[in-house]
Amino acid sequence: MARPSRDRTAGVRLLAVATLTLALAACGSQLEPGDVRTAGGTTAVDGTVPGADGAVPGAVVPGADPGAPDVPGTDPGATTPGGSTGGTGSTGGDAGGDTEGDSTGTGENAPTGTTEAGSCEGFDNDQTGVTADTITIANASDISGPVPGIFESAQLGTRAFAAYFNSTEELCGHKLEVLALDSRADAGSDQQAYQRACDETFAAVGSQSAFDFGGAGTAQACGLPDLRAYSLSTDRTNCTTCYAAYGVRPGQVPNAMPQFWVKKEPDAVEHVAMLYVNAGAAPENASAFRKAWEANGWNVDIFQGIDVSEFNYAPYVQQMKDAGIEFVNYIGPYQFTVKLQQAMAQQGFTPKVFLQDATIYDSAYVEQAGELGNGVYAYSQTNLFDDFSIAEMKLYRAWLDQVSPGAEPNIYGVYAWSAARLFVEEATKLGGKLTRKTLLAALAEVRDWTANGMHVPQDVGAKTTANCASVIQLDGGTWSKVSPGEFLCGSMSNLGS
Amino acid sequence: MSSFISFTIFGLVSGAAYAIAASGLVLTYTTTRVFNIAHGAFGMVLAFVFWDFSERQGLPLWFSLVLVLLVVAPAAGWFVSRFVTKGLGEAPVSSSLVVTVGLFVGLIGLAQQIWPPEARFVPPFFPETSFQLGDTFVTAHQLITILSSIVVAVLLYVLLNRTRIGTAMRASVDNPELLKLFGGRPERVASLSWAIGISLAGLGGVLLVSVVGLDYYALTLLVINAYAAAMLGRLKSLPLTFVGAMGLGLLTSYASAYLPTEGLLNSVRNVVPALFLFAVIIILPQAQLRIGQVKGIVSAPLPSLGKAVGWGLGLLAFVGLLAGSSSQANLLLVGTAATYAIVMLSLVLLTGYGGHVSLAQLTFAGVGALAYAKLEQPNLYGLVLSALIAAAVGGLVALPVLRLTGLYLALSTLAFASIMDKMIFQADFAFGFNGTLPAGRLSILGNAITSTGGYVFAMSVFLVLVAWGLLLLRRGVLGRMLIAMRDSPAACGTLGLDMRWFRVGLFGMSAGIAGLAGALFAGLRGTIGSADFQSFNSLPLLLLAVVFGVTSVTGAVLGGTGLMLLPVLSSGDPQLGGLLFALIGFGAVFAGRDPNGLANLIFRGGHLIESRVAPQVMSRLPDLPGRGRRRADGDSPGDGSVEVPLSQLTHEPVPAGNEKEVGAHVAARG
Amino acid sequence: MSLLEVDDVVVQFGGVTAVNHASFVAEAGRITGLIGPNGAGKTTCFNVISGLQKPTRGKVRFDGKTVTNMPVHRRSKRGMGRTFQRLEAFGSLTVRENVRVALDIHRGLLGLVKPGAADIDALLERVGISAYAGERADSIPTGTARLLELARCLAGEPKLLLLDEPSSGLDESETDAFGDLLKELAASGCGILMVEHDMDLVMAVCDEIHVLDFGSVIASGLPAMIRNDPKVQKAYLGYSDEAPDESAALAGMHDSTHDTTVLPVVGAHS
Repeated sequence: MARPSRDRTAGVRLLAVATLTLALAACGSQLEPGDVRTAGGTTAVDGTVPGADGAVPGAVVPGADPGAPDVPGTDPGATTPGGSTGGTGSTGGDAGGDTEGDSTGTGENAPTGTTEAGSCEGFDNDQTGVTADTITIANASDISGPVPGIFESAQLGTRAFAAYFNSTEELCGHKLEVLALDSRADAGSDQQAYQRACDETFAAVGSQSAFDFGGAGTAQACGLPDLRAYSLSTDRTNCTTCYAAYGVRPGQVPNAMPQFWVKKEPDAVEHVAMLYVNAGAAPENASAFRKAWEANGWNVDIFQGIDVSEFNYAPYVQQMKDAGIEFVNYIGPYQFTVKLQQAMAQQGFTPKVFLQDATIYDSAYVEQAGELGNGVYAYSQTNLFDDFSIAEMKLYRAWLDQVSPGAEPNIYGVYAWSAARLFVEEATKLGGKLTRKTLLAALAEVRDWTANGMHVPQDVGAKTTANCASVIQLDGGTWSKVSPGEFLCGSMSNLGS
Repeated sequence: MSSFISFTIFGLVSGAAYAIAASGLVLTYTTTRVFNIAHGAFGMVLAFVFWDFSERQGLPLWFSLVLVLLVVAPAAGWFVSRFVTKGLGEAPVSSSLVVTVGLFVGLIGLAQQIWPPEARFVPPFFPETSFQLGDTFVTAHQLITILSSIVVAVLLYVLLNRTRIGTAMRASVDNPELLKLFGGRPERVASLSWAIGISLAGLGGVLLVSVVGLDYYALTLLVINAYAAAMLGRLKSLPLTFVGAMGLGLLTSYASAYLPTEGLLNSVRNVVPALFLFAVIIILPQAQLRIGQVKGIVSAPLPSLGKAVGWGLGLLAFVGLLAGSSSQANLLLVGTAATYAIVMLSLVLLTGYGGHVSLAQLTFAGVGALAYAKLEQPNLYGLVLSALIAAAVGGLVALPVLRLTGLYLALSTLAFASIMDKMIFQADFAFGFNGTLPAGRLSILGNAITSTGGYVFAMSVFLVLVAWGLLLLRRGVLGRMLIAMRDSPAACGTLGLDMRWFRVGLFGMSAGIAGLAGALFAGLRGTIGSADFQSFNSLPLLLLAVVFGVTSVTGAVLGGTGLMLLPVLSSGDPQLGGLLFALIGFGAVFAGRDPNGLANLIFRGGHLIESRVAPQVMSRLPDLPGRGRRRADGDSPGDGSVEVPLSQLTHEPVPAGNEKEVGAHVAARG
Repeated sequence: MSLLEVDDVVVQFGGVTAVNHASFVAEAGRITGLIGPNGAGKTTCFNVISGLQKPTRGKVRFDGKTVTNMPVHRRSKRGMGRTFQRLEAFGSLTVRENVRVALDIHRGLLGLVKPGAADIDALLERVGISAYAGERADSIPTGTARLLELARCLAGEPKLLLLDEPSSGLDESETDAFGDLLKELAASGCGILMVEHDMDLVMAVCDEIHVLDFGSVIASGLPAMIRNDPKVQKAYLGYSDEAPDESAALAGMHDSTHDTTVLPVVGAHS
């Protein structure tokens, strides 16, 4: 779906969080520090790459170095090499469990994909963040803050890919190191993190922060390529050196999803209620969606914001009952979705369709909603996390499990992994010509990026909204796809902006 | 029509929850004169305890309920009244506010520590049962909520109006002496009322938790709405409180049903409780000055002019050194610390000297930042104008509560912060919804300060200037007047001082200083948004100011550094966040009565070192220039404003401690 | 017309009536005593007169004007000064600074005539606490602090002084000196209304006495009359177990340990 949905609701969730009125911690990526401690290692990159041939998957467990626990953020400045490259590390770090056959890929799923590596001739080791044998990339995501671990999944996704890359590859003789920074759900901290990224790393990759406007100016000022998972604020989107795996352009809303519903539920779309949380970008998003969806034949009878501090959702449900609503769309954090659904259940109100964006495509929502969640629809710009027919998804899951055993996948993680892959592929292509400038130029040309089918095609370089989405439904705790084909794709409603 | 009835029912349900919470608040205030800001936080913690019993340990529901409401909550109430709030009603309002704000923050931290974030769920009572009323379903849980509020109201009414001890309890808010004369034992009465009060907080929490969800903040902040209800009853009248609670519940319900969903009125919907609180405070009748509170706060020693200048320059030299040697990223942290330190200086003026509490100081900084960004005059003129605008806004906040005293002033700042957060900062003419504004770096006399190092140095120059200004003010007639008003408003009144406009001026000046900090911060950051000035963060700010010493400039500088370090430290271990919150909160609980805080310990320690060690050191280093001589004759300003023995004026190690702090944070990141 | 007229004042706290239809007057140039057992409502009366407590009913007239709803500071500006039973000295300021603040307030912050050291010294001298000038007000003896409060009042050149137990904490010779000071002040035209437990002092200096009990004035008159009034005797003697000293004092005996008296106030009126 458009910029809106993901980027927006993520922002919403964050803002809500930061106003500290948001319900509880979200993300399934919430980790017990102990768990993390057993995960990724910080052994020095030594260039020996067992399993470089992809044949020894079991041995490529990112080794734990017990002496250097790397709880993300324990030391905000800790450099965490994406993964151990040494077989030495395979002791004690096997919490990842079954990595059998999942942790290596070939062809397009190989760490560098099928891109043709550029010549390494003339590689400049004298650039910021580059040494003779390492390239350091930064990841600045919200780890601590009011909701601890909220975007840790983005950092883990980035580290997971770096670990995967380091397990078999190097970039003109360089291993990847990830400088894990914590933007602390605070604009000032984001700025500070990006200042460090500017000073110490070659590029920032896979970052995700609620208040990402903080470091936008800093990144642009120092010419730092910032290839994010998502960009949430206008400032970040407008930053000339910033790109995101999940692209957005304000005012662009895809038509395929609403058209799908017109066909599937022609009566219900005549009686739509759109409710949104009154925080972050949700109100702006909601009104863009409303315009686009009405243009596609929906009829929105109720369009209303609900404050983050609201706890009595019954009046809103009553309004919907009075108005004969059959189709409910909610935009906001999943915790509030649960509250709304509780109130609906209490008032005996069961619309034909309850639809939300992929915010609720999250194990925490599934757990908290319980039976209430049965039958809800979501539209998502990724493929299903457990669709292991997609080799890349399998890789992501396997390496995520290795850098952080037990961590749940989510949309932020998927797009962070995707950003890291994109960085590696573009850098590999550039080879010896790799500089911040050439990388930026290359990123500007990226179109239809799907990270090997993990997600909908993204015009990263154009920074436009993706025009595809899939519709999925939750039933008995499991999501399954209800829209035909891989994704619903189509034209865009352009609402200006 | 039928939907009107539905909205009425929903409103009554909310109102019932407010009523339960508010009546507990009123009870504790009436009997002990302590306004428990942490009332909601207690409700939150008890809701977690209830979850722990009923869900985690799997005890029967009724048994968990009995345990929480009749054992844990009263025990907590007893404990608090005996060991935390004892005698606090007699203390200045600022102390009791700081202590309960400390409890507030501490309890949130405690809850995070004991129950780390994860998905938790408390089901409503009798989830399967509901009754149909026309078109509306009333769940058994909602019915229980309404019935509970009625039972609570009746029982409390009987207690307070139909029993001897209750009558005395009611009298004691206006005249604590009466209680003793009446044969009541104040301690026992206090324990009783806190036990009941916390139980009611628990009841409110348990009833709300299935609706609100187990959340550290939502449950806590929700009860703030109940303040407005309690205020309608002037914190004394239970029937009026009940009316206020129901009125508020209905108002919010109707607002969500009938207010237009577009435009300014839409945002009004979100601040109904805050507006209600503001309105109630404004219509409150003239408050009476309190007499008989404990006076004579031991103030931190006032440094001599020479020392102030010396240490100010020392701080500048140190920042200058940092500016030359630190990385840009660390300089941003130093700048942030300087910002917080200036905001804390505004609290030194307001709280330390003036004895008033503001729960919205960061919001005033936000006003300054907003003005600075909007003026688009990144120079001294823009900076000063921004500070003046913030000062004017501060005065405006104090104006409606002109006739009232400390507690109401503090609560109106709370309402103000909430309104700014949800309405004004978000408006298109301000930062815009979720928006940001660019802010240029300051240029002084045409010379733009573009480097971060230079800018941070400039910020510390302003910090030192404001600090000097405060010290000068403190020495003068205004400073004495402020201390006099803090120590005894009643005496000032009977001596003929009209404190109302003084208070407005004081508030304005303090807001102006905070605004200056905000404007400087905007320039440091380059891009600034409402998210940078979340109203909640004013609470840790206040607490850290108190813990480090809100009566001294040194305390502000240390506190600013501490507040900057707080997220940096908890970033090291996300779990640490809760612990730090708890530490600061409970630290403030103990520091609340001695607002001189850690800074004073340093002064004393420094004095000790100087008197014991320094002579020896100096005898061995006979030619340490100027030092001994300065101490011998330079410290007594001899202008009659010395308020401590000469010896206490020597607090050499202050900046040394400061240096250590700054050094530590640099090292942490380095 | 009297300098101060308290007219039918009622004060209720919750369900407790602290002052019950009290009426009395105080004249310029005279010392008026207000006595009664603890809890009789004396301090509450003072609070009503000075404006710190709003009466539930009744009026207060001062210097020819009804001041019932007038803010505290304006009453003070009109010439009313008071001291407190529970000390209200500015504890963190020195004794000098306390007086200086009072002078500053009296002359206005923007006043051209800034208080000089001589003005302050004169006031301290007058009440006899010059020796404590440089000490913090919260560290001086109670009796001295009471004199300090008096000095602060005098800075405002009041027409009426309300003194709430001014002599408690003073030793015998200090009390005598204090009595002389009061007479001197009255002679200069100042009206004095004094709540006092030291019956010797009261009987020695007062021109007129009002007796409060259960919030009501039960007797008014010259010291000699009050001393022999049976109602007054009963008010004190009725609780002789708890308050032996005051009743004894009434009977002409002296005892200075009368501060611990505890008498029940009016019962809950329900």
